[in-house]
Amino acid sequence: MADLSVSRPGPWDSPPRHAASEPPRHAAPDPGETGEKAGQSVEAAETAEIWPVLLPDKHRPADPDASRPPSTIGDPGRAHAEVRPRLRADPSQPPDTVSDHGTAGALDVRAASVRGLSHRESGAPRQDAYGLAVTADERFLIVAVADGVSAGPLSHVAASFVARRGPRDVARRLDSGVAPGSLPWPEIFTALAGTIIAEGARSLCRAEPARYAATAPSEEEVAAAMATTATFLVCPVGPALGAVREVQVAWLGDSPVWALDPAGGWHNLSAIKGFGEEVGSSGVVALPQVPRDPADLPHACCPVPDDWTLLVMTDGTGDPLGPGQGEVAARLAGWWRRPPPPLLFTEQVGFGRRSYDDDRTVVAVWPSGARDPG
Amino acid sequence: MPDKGILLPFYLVVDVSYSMSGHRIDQANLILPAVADALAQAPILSDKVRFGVLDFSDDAQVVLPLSDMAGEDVLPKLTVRGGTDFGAAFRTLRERIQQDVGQLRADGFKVHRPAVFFLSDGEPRHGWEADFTALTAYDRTTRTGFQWYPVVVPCGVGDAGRDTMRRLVHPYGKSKLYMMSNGADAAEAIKAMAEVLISSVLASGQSAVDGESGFVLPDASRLPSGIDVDDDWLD
Repeated sequence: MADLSVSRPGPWDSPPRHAASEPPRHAAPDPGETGEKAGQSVEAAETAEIWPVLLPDKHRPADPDASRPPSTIGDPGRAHAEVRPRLRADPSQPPDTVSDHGTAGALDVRAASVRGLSHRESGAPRQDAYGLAVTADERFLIVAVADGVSAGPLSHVAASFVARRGPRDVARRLDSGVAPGSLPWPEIFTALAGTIIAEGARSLCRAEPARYAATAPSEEEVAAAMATTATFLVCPVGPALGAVREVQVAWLGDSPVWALDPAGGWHNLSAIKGFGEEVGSSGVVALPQVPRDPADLPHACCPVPDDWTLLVMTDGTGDPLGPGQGEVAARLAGWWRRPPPPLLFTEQVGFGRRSYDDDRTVVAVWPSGARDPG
Repeated sequence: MPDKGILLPFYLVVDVSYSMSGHRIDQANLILPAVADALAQAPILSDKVRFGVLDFSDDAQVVLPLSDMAGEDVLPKLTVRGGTDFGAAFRTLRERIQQDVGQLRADGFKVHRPAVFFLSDGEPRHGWEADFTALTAYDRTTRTGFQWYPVVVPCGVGDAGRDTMRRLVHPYGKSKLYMMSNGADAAEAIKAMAEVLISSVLASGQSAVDGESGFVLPDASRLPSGIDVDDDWLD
């Protein structure tokens, strides 16, 4: 039976035929097939012509494409196979999965945000979000990734604010002439925090009109209901100068930025010393809170070789990736050194691995150098 | 490289001295299938939980090695034998934890501090204290003692003495003492303890899913009848 997939397509791509008198469409082996292998193929084909309507599904030869297992890394655990995702029946909730792909100048981009298994099982909304923007002069791509803090019941709303407003705000500043290296990140994060407080208060009023009929929600109440990490990447889209691309990274919270070199090595851009400032020690990890001292907001300017892949992600992927040296790191490097087909990328972002059931978001950027064969 | 995710090991340690004969051991034998059923229905949690069973009387034995309970079609049975030696249980438990946690960590898992539900229905033979100390004592500053000491949740039924069982609560603040209520039936109390255990396994797994600390005991207000919880500590 194994030869079915080698010598010809499966028999199920046309309706089952009963007529033995019809020409045996599949019986002739391919010209290149000889000997025992071809003989098996004939036998299998004859069997297939007669049996499909009689045999239950489980006895049919597997369609090699239909039966390809979903992406997993190591032991996928039970949840990956067994969780029955609750349908998103509330249109105000974000979709289970979103993805994007396309090019911006010399960059190839894939983005996917996938609801985690635990949220799928409980019916909770995906709390991750990403956002993309390109400056009007088409010189810079801005990526934002946000991970709503699970303790806040409306954190997905905060994450969505950051993903929608953040990249646009950064693009506007770049368009007004601010150099990427001079972007006022404390101001940008503070403005986002203000958006979350203001819009979040409205969301809270809508969610609990009775409670907030007399007095509007306080900032503390909004912060308790919704909080989110925010990580930005600003990347020039033009051809790299001297094979190096200078990218800006800024972040609040634990959504990391990584770069993947052509040899499969992972390089953290958001927390490793030597690339920029160290992580602030303020203990503030999620908007709408911002560090009291704006200098505590970590950001970095990183020169990245033009054949490296840039990845902005939430900890749903960052945690299993760990320090970028284990089984997950090796597999993701293999998958993502070159841009995969867009929907395959989305499927890979949702890879199965035992006990990793958080929402996952990855925005991957391949500069032109990474697309060259090699 | 610890990139295989977090695991919460649970151990159930059951007294199988002769006093446990009859309904008590029958009821104890329902615990393991109930845990297996609960985990079978909760694949997300079962990916994070490992469960093992030890019994003890004059000696202690591993009944079910620490396992993910998946595909355990035939579950082992407890049978009664001999007297009640807590010390044997604590010694074997320490060996198992040392070995199990060491193995899981070597396999790349992040392992949460183990939790032990310790079910007994009688007063122990004297001289168990040193073994309990060897299981539970750890000094963070000098790094002496047992680094992977478990949270011990004593569950006393029948003739188990409240004062003795209370000494097994470890560490204060994380654990509580569960005791059969006065006048309750011991077998029913064991059933209630099983409910506490399963609630704890599920709640702890969920806590790990939510990215929080891990081991959780069920809320005292939802205690099944037949047992009471003793957590009114004055340190």
